[in-house]
Order: sequence, then structure tokens, then C-alpha cells
Amino acid sequence: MKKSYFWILFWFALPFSMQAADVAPRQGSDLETIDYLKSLDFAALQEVEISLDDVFDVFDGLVKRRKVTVASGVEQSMARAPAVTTVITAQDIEASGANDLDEILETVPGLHVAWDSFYDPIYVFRGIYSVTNPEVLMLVNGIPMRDLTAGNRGVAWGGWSLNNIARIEIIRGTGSAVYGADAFSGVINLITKQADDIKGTETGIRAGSQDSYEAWVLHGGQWAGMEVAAALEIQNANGADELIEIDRQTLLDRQTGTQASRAPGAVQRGRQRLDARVDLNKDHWRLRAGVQGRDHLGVGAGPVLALDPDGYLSENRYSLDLTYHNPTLTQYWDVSAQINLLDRQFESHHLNLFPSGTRQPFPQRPQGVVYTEGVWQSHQLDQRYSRLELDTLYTGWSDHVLRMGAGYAYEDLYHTTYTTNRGLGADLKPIPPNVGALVLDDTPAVIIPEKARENIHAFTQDTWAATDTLELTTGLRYDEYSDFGRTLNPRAALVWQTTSTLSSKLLYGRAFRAPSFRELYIYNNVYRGNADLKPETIETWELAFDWQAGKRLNLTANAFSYDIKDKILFLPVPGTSLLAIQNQGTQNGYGFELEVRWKMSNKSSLLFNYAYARSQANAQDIGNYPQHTAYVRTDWLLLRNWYLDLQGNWVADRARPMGDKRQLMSDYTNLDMTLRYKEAQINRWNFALGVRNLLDSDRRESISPEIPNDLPLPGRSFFIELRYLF
Amino acid sequence: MRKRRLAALLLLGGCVWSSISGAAPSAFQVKAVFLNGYAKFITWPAAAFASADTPFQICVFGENPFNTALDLVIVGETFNQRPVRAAYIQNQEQIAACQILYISDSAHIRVDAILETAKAYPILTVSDLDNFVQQGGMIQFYIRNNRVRFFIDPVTLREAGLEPNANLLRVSDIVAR
Repeated sequence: MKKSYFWILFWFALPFSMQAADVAPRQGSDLETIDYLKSLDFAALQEVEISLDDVFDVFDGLVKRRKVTVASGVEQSMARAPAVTTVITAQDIEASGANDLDEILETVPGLHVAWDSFYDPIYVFRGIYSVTNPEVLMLVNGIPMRDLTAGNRGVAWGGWSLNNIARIEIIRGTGSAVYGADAFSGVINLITKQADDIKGTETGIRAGSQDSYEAWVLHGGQWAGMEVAAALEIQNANGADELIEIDRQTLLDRQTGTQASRAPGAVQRGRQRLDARVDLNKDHWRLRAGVQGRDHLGVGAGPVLALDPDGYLSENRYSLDLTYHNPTLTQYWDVSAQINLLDRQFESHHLNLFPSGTRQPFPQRPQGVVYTEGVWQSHQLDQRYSRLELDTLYTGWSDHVLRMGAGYAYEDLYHTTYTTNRGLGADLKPIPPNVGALVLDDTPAVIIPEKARENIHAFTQDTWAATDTLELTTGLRYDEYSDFGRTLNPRAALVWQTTSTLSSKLLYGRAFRAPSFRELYIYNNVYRGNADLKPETIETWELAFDWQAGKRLNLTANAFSYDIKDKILFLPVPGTSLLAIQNQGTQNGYGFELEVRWKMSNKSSLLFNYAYARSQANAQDIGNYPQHTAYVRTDWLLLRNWYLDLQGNWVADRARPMGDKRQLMSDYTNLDMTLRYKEAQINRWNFALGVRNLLDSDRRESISPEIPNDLPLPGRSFFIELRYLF
Repeated sequence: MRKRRLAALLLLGGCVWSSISGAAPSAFQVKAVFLNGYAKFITWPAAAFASADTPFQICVFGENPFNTALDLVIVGETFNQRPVRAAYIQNQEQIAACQILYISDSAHIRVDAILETAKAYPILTVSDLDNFVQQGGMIQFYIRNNRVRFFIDPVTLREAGLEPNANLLRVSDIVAR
């Protein structure tokens, strides 16, 4: 550990030592530029080519004022947007060498990416941790990417490639007054590239450790009078081979005298991915279509925390959306309408919940029963989302910008199948041991019944410039659901332009998360759903500051506190081994986040953030989340066209949840390095070499005590990447 | 461990600065130079200044998008023997002392009210906001082919008592409300 501290200090002291030497010429170059510009007459000045935002300038890009849309649905500068936000640009992604969404999200202050047993990400915003993680709303071009059964992104998530991402906008905090359900602890909006973002045809390949390969083609241009963007990405990976020393079956083996466990054994993180997307734009119309395939997704540390090297998951997602947007329908009205469809077809293939030879409890059999074929299941979940959204902006009222909208959604879990050899049979009585598998499709014992929900909603938001320096944004959204009823979620934000470089904000928001179908309708030998659930709610207060301290330095800070009510919990039913689902319990939390963005010289920059969070239920720490996280990224122009990016994150003080007697999770530090050759001006060839987890740190994420040593994260790995732009 | 040290040494070796050709100026550097330059092509009435030694003031209303560019531009600048000053203002009460008023994007909701206040004085109003000239502003920057250009409405200027020089109008895109 001490060695790693030394290296961390070394890497991050480097920029400071070099900073001193670079100060003098830097100031000179700005003055020289200005003197040169002043020497020109107006006609010549109009011919000066300026550097545009999309030019690869990682150093200016870091401190440049960014605009954000996710906060209110209207584009605003981040400093004044009525929420605490983070914007990640394609340039950030490229510079840091991130290969997947979850890698780049770890860079956001107050957001820690933890993992569940499938190695699906758990986005822990500000200490709000849960294994299924339905508290975070994932949007793709503003459209929810949700899974009805668990309320999260789905178990066959399989990650998300970043080659076709133009920017990622994140709300750290509540967003239900704008987005409705599940914008509870955070909102992540992935914005895909449009024709302008690509400008030509880019091809790329990436290869890395664990036999991972990726290839992509992006195209942006004009065709038949339309702006066209198209992307095709494929990826194949065998996944990391970290060891699980002891799993749930090991513990069972100790109790039952069996030897069934596959542990010690490697986690299963293999995957095959295909992503294809088209974006057509003409005048006021935009049509987008997408296909995503996820196949042979390994089940990580096992579906129920017992290793399973054979089962796998797959999912196909089809999306289509058509948007009409007229920013000047009349002088004062900006109007848009959208229809969008998403179809998700999920399948699990012979998931071994427990390996062959496992001995499981069984009613009236005190010794339990040995399952010679193990306990397994296969199931399908097909769901379809159809939505209509209307959105208007009215600017005809002096000192106000008014936004109003309404929408309708039909969310349908239209096909579920279930085959298993343990649990409840069609008659809801225990399936007799070793009779083979039963097909339980269309029976009361199916894994989850086919159900649908309807939602109608309406919202309004007013931004009022009350004085020259004070802006008050108020918003209210009404949601009515066919299954769990109605909810009203307000927000208020007071933004004070304290000085021309400092803005201060006071924010209030209330949000909800919808009960998932699993929570409402599941019925099996362990879990009992509850159709009377109410939504979980959260109220958040935030105070935030954004200070542009000169041309090269941007500082932000915020403090927050939240209160969660009607928490949806699985609670034991007395006298049985069942878990029933109830709205019971509260949770509250507080903390703060700091961020420094510093362009140290024309050839180097530094980003640093630190976040502190505490989250408690009944005065007990809820555990599993890090109380301290820090992230540092430095970028360097080493030689002409050669860029070096070093980044590190530190995760510390993860308590155990109540009842978990294991010692505190170990802290960890992770360092990554990316060396890139990029022709910043011509931009034809682009080549990168990267190392993740440079120090080969032993990093673990917390998981249930049934895997006592927690979930291991990958050790040191390498990748190379080559891109060419035609 | 030895490998790590070697890698670090190599990297350090690589960290030798090499000069790259100067980057293109930013849009706001060019705009700052324009803002200062307008003074030379426009005549302000004598009444625009409280006294003989009142400075010539270029104001930025709202969030400052220029960073230090405007401050660097006006170093050593004078206008008819008056020193040129940059002021970053937040309130309409401060407008009266400005000769040039740049209205930042951040003030877009207030732009009607700000223009209404500015109208009472001989102040050149400039902005990047869309439709600024249609809303009663005087000069609106826009970007075309990676170059900064501007619209100007000479009628609005003259209504405020400002007289644009023919040389300015020649290089401007003249529009009317």
C-alpha cells in the first residue's frame, strides 16, 4: 500500500513541478495573440479563423464553460443550471481512454460505480446504495432505458460502448420534476453522436487483455438532403478471470457435508455485444433507430452468489423514435413532439443457481434434498415501451421562460417464460426434487406474471429572472400510474449570479421511484410481492457554488442533504422463511462534493474531485457505499500530437450494512494511464495504448456475506486502439 | 517494481516540452478585440460622459464569457484621452455608466428589460444572443465558417444618439429590426 502512495504522489506531483517553469511563456502567448488580433483591421479580423469547441483541445476543453440540458430540459450554462450536474464530453472520453460507460462514470464526483453479482453496475450517488439500483434513471437521448421487472437497467445490461457517445449529462441528485419516475438519486443521459459530431467516416479497432476485441465504424454526413449519422460497434470479450475463493455453495457445503461448490473458481464476465444506430435529421424532423444485441453474457459470481461457469444471458433491444422540433413555431413558442418505442427481449440460458450435488432444504425433509443436476432455471422476459411526449417552451412573458409538457407511456411486460427444477410448481406447491425441470409458462408460478402499466403525466416549469442577478426556477410534475397511483413532484431552484464569475444556487427537489413489477407481483418460495406498494420518495436540499477563478481555473463545491421515505424493503415474514415487500423505513444522508478543473499550461491540465457522503437508516450507517471518494486526472501534451493521460481514483471507508459482521471493506486506489497519438489538426490517425489498474491493486466491491471475500475487480490490464478517419 | 521505475523514467524523459505551433485564437478573444475596436468607429455624444475625465467603459452584463481576454485587450487603450475600463456588472442600475454593453447569454431572460434600460442612454449594445438585433439590440455576433462576424442595425444606433462610421458599416452585415 505504501508503494502505491508513493506512486500516486509521484504522478500527481509531476504536474506541479512542471507548472512553475511554464507560467511565464503562457501569459505571453495570450498577450501575443491579443496584440496580433489588435493589429488587424476589422476586415482582416473577420477573416481570422477561430478554434471551435470540437477541436481536440483537452486542456482548454477541461476548463471551458460547459452547457447542460439535462437539468431543466433547456440548454443552460452548467454554472446557472438549476441542478448540480456533470457533463462528460467525447473529448473527456477519448483523453481518458475509457472503454465503457461505467469506466467514465467513476470520474463523476459523488458517483461511485459498484457492482452486483452479475457484474452489472450499481450507480451509487451520494451514498444511496441498493443491489438492484432502481434509484438511477438512465436515459438515451432523453428516453428512459428501463427494465420493468427490477426498475433498473436490466440484468443483461452488458455495458455500453462509448465510441458513439457525443456527451453524457448527469444530474447528481433528484430529477423527478422533469423526468418522473426513478430520477431519484441521479439521472444519466447518454447523447449519441449526430452527423456534425462525426463528420466523415471513422473506423476503429481496440484489443485488450482477457481476449477483448472491439471494432466500430461511425459515419456522419449528408444523404438525400438529410443529415445522417450511423454507427456500428461490435465487441467480444472473455472477461476478467478474478477468483472467488469462497461462494455461497462453499458455505452450504460446510453445513450439509456436500462438495458441490465450483469455488475457488473464476468469475464469468465474457460478453458479446452489437450496437447499431441510425440518426436521420431533416428540417424539424429527426428519426432514430437502434439495435443492441447482448449475448453470451457471463453471470459473474453466479445468479445467487454460487459460481456458475455455464449459464449465460442474452438480450436484444430495438428502439425507434421520431421527434418533431420547431424552435420557432411562432415568435414565442418552441414546440416539440416525440413518439418513441423500445422493445427488450431478454433470455437466460440454463442458469445454475446451485451446482450439481447441492443439498437444499425441502419441506418435511429434515436432511434436505440433494439435487444431482443442481438447481437451475431458464427464463424469458420481453417488454415493450411506447411513449408519446409533448414539450413546449414559451418566451413571450417578460422575464420568464415557461416550459410545459405532457406525455403518455404504455409499459408492457408482454411475454414471460420460466423453466426450473426447484421452487413452486404450477399448483404453487413445491416442485418435488429431481423430477426434472417443469415448464411454468402461463402458470401462477411463472417467474413474474405478464403485466402492463400505463402512465400519464404533465409538467410545468417556470424560470423567472426576479432581479438582474436572481433567477428562480420552479417546477412541478404530476404522474398517474395505472398500478400504484399518482404522485406530485415539485422542485425549486434559486440561482444567484453573485459576481460575473461566481454563481450560487439553493436547490430543493422531491422525487420518486416507481415500485418495480418484481416488487409488486413476484410470488415464489422466497419472495412475496405487494400490489399495494406506494412509490419511494426522496426530498433533497442542496447548496452549490461555481466559481470561474480566472481563465484557467474552475472551482465548484456543493453540499447536500436528503430524506428518503416509504422505502421499499424485503422484510422477513415472522414464522416463515418468506420475505414480503413493504413500504417501510426511512433513510437520510448528507455530504459535500468539490471539484477543481485547472488548465495548468497550454500543454497540461488537471481535474480533481473529492466527495464525502454519509447515509443512514435508523441512525445506523446503511453501509456498502464509500464515504470518501477522490478522483484525479492529468493530461499532458508530451510531444507534438502525443498525449498522456493519468488518472486515479480512491475509494475509502465503506462500512458494512447492519448485521454484516465482516470487517470494513479495504480502501483501494486505482491508477490508469493512456498514451495517445492524435493528429489534433488533421485528425486522420489516432492511436492509443492504455493500462488500467496500473498498480495491479486488489480492488473489491462489497457483496452479501455469502461471498465472504467480496467481489474482485480486474487486476492490471492493457489495451491498444487504432482509429482512422476518412 | 523495477519495471515500474523504468516506465516512469521513460515517461519523465518524454515529458520534455516541445513547442507546438500556436493554437488558433478563441472566439471570445476575437470578440473582445471587436468590442474594444467599435469605439474607434462610433461617435458618442458628449453627454455620454459625466465629466471630462470619466473613463470609457466597456461593460459585460451577467456571466463573464471573456475570461481575461477583455482585460488584456484594453490594457493601455484610450478613447479621446479617456482611459478604457472593463466593468463586469450584474445590475441594471450600473448600465448608465457604460458606453458599450455586452449582454451575456446568461442574461437572456432579462434581455428585454436590459435593452429597455439601455435605450435611455447613448450605449452601444452588443450580444451573442439569437435574434438580438430583432429584439432591439445593436450588434449581434455570429459565427460563420469558423470566423466571427456581426450584424449591425444602424437605425437602432442612431436612435440612441450614436453615429456609426461608414467604414464600420462597410465591413458589417447590416440588418434592420
